[in-house]
Amino acid sequence: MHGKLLKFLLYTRFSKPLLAVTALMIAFCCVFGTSVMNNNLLASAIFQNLGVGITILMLVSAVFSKGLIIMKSDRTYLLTLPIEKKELALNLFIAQIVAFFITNIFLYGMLIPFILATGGISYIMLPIDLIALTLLICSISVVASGLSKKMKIALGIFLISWTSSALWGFPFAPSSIFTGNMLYGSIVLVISAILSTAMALRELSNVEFKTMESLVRATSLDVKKIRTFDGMSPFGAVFFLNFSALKFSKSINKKSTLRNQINSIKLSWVMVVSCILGVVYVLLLPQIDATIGYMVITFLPVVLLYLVCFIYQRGMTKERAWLAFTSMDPMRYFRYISAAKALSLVTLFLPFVIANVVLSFLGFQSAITTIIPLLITIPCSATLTLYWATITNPVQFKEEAPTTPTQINLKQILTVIPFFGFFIIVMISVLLPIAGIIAAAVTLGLTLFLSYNRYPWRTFVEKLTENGYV
Amino acid sequence: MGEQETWGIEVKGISRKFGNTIALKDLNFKIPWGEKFALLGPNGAGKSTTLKLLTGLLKPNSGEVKIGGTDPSTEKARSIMGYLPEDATPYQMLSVRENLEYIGALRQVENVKEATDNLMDFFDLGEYEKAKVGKLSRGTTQKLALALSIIHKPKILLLDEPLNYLDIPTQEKVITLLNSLSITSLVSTHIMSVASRLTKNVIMLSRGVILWEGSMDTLRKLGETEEPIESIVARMMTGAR
Repeated sequence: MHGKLLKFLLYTRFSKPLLAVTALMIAFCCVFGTSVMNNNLLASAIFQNLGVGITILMLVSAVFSKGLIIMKSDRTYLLTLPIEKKELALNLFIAQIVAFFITNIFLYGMLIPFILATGGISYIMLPIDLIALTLLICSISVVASGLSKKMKIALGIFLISWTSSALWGFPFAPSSIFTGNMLYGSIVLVISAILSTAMALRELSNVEFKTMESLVRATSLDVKKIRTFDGMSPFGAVFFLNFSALKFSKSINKKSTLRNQINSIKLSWVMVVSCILGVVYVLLLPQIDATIGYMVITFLPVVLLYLVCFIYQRGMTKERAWLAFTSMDPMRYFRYISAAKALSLVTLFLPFVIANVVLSFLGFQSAITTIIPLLITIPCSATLTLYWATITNPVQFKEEAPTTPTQINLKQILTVIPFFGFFIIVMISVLLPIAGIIAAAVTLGLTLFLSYNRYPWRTFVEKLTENGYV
Repeated sequence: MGEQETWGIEVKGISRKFGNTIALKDLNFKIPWGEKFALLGPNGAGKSTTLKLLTGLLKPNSGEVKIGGTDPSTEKARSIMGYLPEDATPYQMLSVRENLEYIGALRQVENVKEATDNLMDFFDLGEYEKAKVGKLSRGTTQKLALALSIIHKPKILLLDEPLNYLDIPTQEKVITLLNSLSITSLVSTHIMSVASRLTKNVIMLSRGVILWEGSMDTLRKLGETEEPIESIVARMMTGAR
């Protein structure tokens, strides 16, 4: 039964195009990574730091994730079958591990040549480390799903501190495999993975219907505070709705009901964090080595761009065509939304812009070159990402249609392409100020062109309606 | 009164394909201002596609659609038109009140709060004021969707299976409300009793073409004595296949 069940779960979660693209991705990453590594030592260091950043992101996401991913079809068909819940939970866990392993290949792919370049045991340890990292992420998501919010925050802070310690040369961190401490890093990673997986399996072995419910978080039935749109203009209403919060869309399973859910974080809260990070950034940077300082300054816009693209991929999936586009011209509606989102990003980046201005006065000349990318290129890239994702993949979450991270089709994979383009544009913008000005002008021009061109939005609405997302 | 002002809805020779499938073929009909029409037809007849073309969400491959004398994608047409799709889902992350106020603001309704209060009273949505739409029952969601489609007091209303999921008292309320409004309406439905209570005229579609058009009374007269209207319609539709 185990084999058949697992086969079924894997078939319902992965598409053949995805596996083909995964193979291409690995090949591309190895070639691209190797060429960058051979030609530019500084870029190599930046890519190594990217490894630490991705690890932090994945671990923290795991802490705040919802445990096992159960799809609507699972609830309708699989959960009604006479299969023992422990067996089901275990196989769902294995399917999730495979899903995250593929996700990790996409995320860490470009770092593979840099890890291998450290030589020695890296050739043996690399596949083991990738598996251990996947196990650690998946098991943390299961173990943390039962924790209280406070405990999750505490665990998140611990994991951020522990993982980022590798940047300062601490060898006993799971991310130190990216910073030259392959042996110690691998040992720590494997031990952490074994311990956390054991804890997750223990959690899963006790699974009953009730426990499965606790593996996924309950969400509030009501909004905390009703927002009023009374007396607002159309622009005011769209702006108010989209400026005040950063939204992440995702799918969750609650009790026996599956829902696609938007999680909003108030911009004011994110601003507080952004301000604190800006202050820490200014205070810490002069204390560290100048070369590392330069790398951090250069690397910051890239990290912010990564987050922006992550957030904006699904920006329009919750829109309602029958409401929004029969009330307003789609082009105008999109223009208002993108203006709100771009301005919320500018607001969010402002503490870092001020911090970089301060740093430039303190002697870090390179800090000033990040200002244009932060204020123009990245917010415009967000709009362009939103546009591209919307046009290439006109999908909406009508109600309940959760997907695993890897249950995507070829079109959806295409939506990732501009991210790589923007990534390179932002990197060049920071390294070469003139190129930065040109990139900002081009992205701003493109954004304005799309915001005032009716045709793509007409096509989007048409495609959306044809696909049945009204 | 000019030609433009005579017709609320005009459909002139529209055809629409989805890939190789012909959904609508040379469709022609006109609905005068203030008249209420039902769009009847079996599954896949093209009823929902017709409504989507009328709202401007879809464009016809050929032919022309006019709402109040203008293209449906113009601001003027949008401002006078209300639309309720089948299985409508409002914004899931907003509450009932937020949905109503948001769309009220987009549609530039004069007193959004008052309009929202009135609709929430009418549809008994008061207790769900703060509830996220994603958590509502299908029936309550349908009530909200109906309220959203009429918040701006449209002159032309396009409804796709409006009474789906509603309990009987709410169905009666909605029928009374829609009959009391002096508007032009086109109601797509499978259910004859809904059509006959909400409208006086019928456009019958089958496989993307108009099978029959006329008044409800004329339709009744097409049958044998005492023959239920459902039976007449079924016979006509089956004959068309």
